[in-house]
Amino acid sequence: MSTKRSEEQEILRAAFGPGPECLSIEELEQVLTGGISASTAVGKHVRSCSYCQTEMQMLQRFGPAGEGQAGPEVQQIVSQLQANPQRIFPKPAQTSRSVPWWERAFTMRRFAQASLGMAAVLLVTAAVLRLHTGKSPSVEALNHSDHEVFRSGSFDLVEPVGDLQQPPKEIRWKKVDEAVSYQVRLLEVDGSEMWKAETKEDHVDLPAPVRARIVPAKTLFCEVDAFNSSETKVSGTGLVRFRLAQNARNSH
Amino acid sequence: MARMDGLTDEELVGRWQAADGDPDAERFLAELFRRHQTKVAAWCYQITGDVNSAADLAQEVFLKAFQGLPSFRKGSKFTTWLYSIARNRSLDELRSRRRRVEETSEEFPEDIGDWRTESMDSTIERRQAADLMRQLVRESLDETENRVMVLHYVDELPLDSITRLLGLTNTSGAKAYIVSARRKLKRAHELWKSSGSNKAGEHVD
Repeated sequence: MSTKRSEEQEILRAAFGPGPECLSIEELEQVLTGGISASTAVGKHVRSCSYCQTEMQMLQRFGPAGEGQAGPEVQQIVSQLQANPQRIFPKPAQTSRSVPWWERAFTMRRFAQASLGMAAVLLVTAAVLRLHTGKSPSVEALNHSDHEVFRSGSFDLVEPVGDLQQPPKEIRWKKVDEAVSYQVRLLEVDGSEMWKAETKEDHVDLPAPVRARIVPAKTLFCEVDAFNSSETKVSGTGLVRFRLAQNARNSH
Repeated sequence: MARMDGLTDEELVGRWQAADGDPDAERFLAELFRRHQTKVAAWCYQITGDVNSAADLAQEVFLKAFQGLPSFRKGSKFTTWLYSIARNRSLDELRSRRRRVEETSEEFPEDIGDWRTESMDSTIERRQAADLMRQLVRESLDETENRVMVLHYVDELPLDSITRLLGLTNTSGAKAYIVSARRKLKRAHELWKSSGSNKAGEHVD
C-alpha cells in the first residue's frame, strides 16, 4: 500500500474512530434505555458523534431488531448450535469460581447471623467508651501515617485507566502498606484471562507480545490483588476498565 | 421451565453464580442460551455471511460467555455483555482472516484528496487533518454514509458484512455509500481549501 493511501487510512480512522469523549458499550446501553438523558453533555455528544451513533445502532441490531429478520439461514445455525450443546456449555470445572474458605464461611447463614450479633456488641461497646471519654475522637489520630490507609479493602490502580492514547507500557498501582506481593491480571470483557503476573513492586512492565494484543477500541480490564506475608489477599483494585483509542493504532 | 420464564437474564446469572458449580445449574445456562440463540446466530450470520462459519462463531461466543460468567458483575445487563463478547469475538475472527481494510480499500480508486498540511510526520498535523475531516463529515455525510465509514475504516468490517448488518438493499450495498462518502469528503475539502486558509482556525474544532 502506498504511503499516501496509508496516510489516508490513518486520517479516516482518526476522523471516524472513537475519541476520549466516546462512551463505552455499557454507557451507550444506558443512553438507549434512558438512563442517560439526551439533554446532558454526554447525550449531546452521542447525538453528534458518528462512532457512538454507529455503536448504538449495532447494539440495537443485536437486540430484537436483528432477531426479527432471522431467515432460514439463521434457523439452520440455531439447529447446528442445538445439535452440539457440549460445545456450548462448559464443564462445571471450567466455570466454577474457586471461593476461598472465608468467603464460604461468611455466606453461611449461621455464621452471618453470629457476625451481625458481634457487630452489634462492638457498636454498643464503642458508644459506651465514647460517652466515657466525653470527647470526640481525633481525626488526626486516625490519619497519622504518611501512607494512604486502605480501610475498605480496595486500592487504586494508577494506570492504565479509561481511554488511552498509547498502549500502556506498564501497570502501576498505589502501594498497600501490609502487602508483600501483588498479582496482576489483564482480562477481556468476557472475563477470560489475557495475561497474569506476580510482583513485589508497585508496578509491572507489560511484555511486548501482550502490548501487541491491546488493540484499538477493544475494552479490557485490569485487576491487581495485594497479598500479605501469609499469602492472604488483603486488598484489591477490582476490575478497572481501559481501552486504547483508535488513533493510537501504530504506536505499539 | 415456567418458573424460569419469570426470571430476568440477570437473575438467571445470579442463580447460576450462587449454585457454585452445581451440575444441575446448567439449566440456567440452557435457559439463557434458549433466549439468546437466535440473536447471536443472526449477528454471526450477518458478520460471516456463511452458515457454517456463523455456527462456529456463535458456538465460540456462547462458550466464551458462559466461561466468563463468574466475572459477570451485578448491575450489568446480560444482553449488553453478550453483545460485547459477540462483537469482540467477531472482530477478532475477521482480523484473523486477514480481511483488513488495507486489502479491500483498493476497491476505491478515487482518493479523497490531499489532506496533508506541511508535514504529516507530525502528530499534531495528523490530528488537525482528522479534526478538519470530522468537521466536514458532520456537514457533508448522511447517517448511513457515516455508519458505513465507521464500520469499514474503524471496525475494519468487510463490505458484505456491513451490507448485511445495516440491512442495505441497494444493488452494490456498502460500497456505494463509501464511494459516495469519499466523493463528498473530497469535494467538501476542496471547497474548504478554496475558501481560504484564514478560515481554518474558525472552521476546525
